[in-house]
Amino acid sequence: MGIEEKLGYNVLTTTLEKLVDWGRKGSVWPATFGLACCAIEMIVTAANRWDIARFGMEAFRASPRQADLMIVAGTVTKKMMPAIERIYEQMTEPKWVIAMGACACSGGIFDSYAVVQGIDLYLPVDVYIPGCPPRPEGLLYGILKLHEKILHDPFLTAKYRQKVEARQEVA
Amino acid sequence: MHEPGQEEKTYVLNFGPQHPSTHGVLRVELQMEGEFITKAAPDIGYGHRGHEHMAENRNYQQFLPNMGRVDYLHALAYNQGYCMAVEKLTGLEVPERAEFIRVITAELNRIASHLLWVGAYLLDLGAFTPFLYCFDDRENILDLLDRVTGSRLTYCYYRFGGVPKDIDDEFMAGCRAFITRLRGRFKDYDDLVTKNIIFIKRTRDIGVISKEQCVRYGLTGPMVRGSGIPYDIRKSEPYSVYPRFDFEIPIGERGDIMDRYLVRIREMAQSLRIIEQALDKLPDGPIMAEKVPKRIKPAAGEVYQAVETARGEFGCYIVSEGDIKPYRIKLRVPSFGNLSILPEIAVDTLVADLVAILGSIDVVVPEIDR
Amino acid sequence: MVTYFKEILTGFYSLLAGMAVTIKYFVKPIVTVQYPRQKLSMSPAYRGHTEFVLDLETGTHRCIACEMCARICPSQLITVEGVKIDPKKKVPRKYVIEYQYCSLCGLCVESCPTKALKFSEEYRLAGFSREDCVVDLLARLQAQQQRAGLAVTPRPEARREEGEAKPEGEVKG
Repeated sequence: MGIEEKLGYNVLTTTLEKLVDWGRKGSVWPATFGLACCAIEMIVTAANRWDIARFGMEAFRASPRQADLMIVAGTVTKKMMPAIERIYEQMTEPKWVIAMGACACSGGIFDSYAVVQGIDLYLPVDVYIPGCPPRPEGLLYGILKLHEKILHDPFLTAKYRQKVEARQEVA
Repeated sequence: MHEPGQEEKTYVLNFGPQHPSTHGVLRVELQMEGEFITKAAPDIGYGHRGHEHMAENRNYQQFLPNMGRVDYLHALAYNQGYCMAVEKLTGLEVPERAEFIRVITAELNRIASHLLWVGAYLLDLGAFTPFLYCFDDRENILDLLDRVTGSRLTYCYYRFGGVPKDIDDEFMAGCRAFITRLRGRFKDYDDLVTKNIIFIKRTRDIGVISKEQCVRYGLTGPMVRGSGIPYDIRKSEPYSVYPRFDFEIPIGERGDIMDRYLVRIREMAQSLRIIEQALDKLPDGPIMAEKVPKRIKPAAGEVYQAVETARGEFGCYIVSEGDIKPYRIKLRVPSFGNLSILPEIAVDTLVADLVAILGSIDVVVPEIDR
Repeated sequence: MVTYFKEILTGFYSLLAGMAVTIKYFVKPIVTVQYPRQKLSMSPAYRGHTEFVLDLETGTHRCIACEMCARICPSQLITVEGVKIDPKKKVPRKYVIEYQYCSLCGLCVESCPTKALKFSEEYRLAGFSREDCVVDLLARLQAQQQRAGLAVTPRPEARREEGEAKPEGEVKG
């Protein structure tokens, strides 16, 4: 949240954090970002059968600056990777990444020279959803998992910052 | 408007690769003069996955799942094209029932592809409501196909020599129910979209492609039919059991976006006709050829098989050297040819119209890049 | 001037016609599935990840660890390690699929000579790491047997000495 840096960790800030996390959980805005096959299933999830608006996520933002969640849906090629990295960097904190589909999780069947073997080589992935493509229920289940993580993970607190710094040092 | 003495400036605008209406990861580099485009250069390769290279390192069966992922919107036509090419190469005879099942499922998939195009294209033009109706209809098809193929999108259903799973009565009843349902829905689409004044204003006489241009650029599919050339592989080079069905090739007159839209809508109606006839004529019998070898090892030779996908002509060219792996597989994809006309028709249009034109080409980017 | 007003009128009418369609569907039943509150049933052909067929006659799986599935798999994601429990019979000691590579083509199920594999109906498969997507089919079968109240197939241990065909572990069937 940022406020705890001034006030320290006490009853007030941790309770507030719970409230803020609950609020964040209820309106995760994904970035409109489709790469290949899985993007179609992502669109289907937003359409009427699996109405993603029930999770407060119907606002697919075209601009990464307004988005909280990046659903990497589809095959990530080496040519596309710099663009994805830039989009991720442009997103405002707090941000989450879902690797949707076999290709984003691990490269999938595309064990070829042009395909990045898993988006987690470049970005910190929060939830992996395997399947080629995963069904919309699978994506919704992944989103529920992400909600779980948002509720329980001390995101953007000092601990997380240290983790990020440590990761950057290693990299 | 510029001050006297100040030079008129052109500037470059990047359209994509991450843009909500590029349908994936296409980048178009636009040279702009004010709001008008003076030059449009598509930059492809953001979805290049190396299918053709992968084919050289796998045996014939192992390449099957790739065919569902080149053009994921009409995956079954790709399955069919590849399977037919390999069957031609090895001389496998496909039983009649399997051919009928292939035609039924491929045509259902074609309707699903067109429905998705209508929905997504109108979303590009700013209409949200038709998108929901189209996807509702599409879900019905996917439920039907899910019953036989087991997947919703990237099918890997056809096998060399037939299909692995037979269709049941419930599927056939579902198909018939869907045919009546979609026929009733066409009127709604008409009211909602085709007669809508905003839609007409944005599509009439925009992105006109002449017959001569079509031939020069080698366009296929609804692009060429929208310009008035009745070219359809199902009629001109009949394959599978298509000659037994009575259907028409809808064509447009002016070659603008509206015509391409109408061609696709009418094609859905024709596909429904094909499915109806195929369900009536469906013969009994085996669904898999006898004596399909476990290991496909065709004799040395080469083969080309073209099929009509929702976007145009897909051709599969296989060179075999008598090994269990193909020597080379070349995929002739329709979107690549169709996109090539963009630099010519995008000149002197507005950026807003470019979105409309690009959408009307109906590109699937991983298909262009393969 | 006349055409101008005519256009406005037709435009207005077209908008009303579109609205009428929307209103018509407003009173139709909803199509949205209430997924998290309702368990969905998959279609009979649904392809999830593979799992062993629980043979009710013998109460265990039918896998003979021939590795046909591992060989045909386009992504080479199946790891099978067999162990001989007697000179003629081989059972898997380890059968693991790395589901994150799977393209659900179904070639493994079709190539199986003993029809030991089938598709599961699992669709809730998200995890927090890549390793969460790895499925151990033997462990899955054991859980399934426990639920069905059958004797659990133990995992045969690896042979300590090569060439010695000594039965290890209580493997039934």
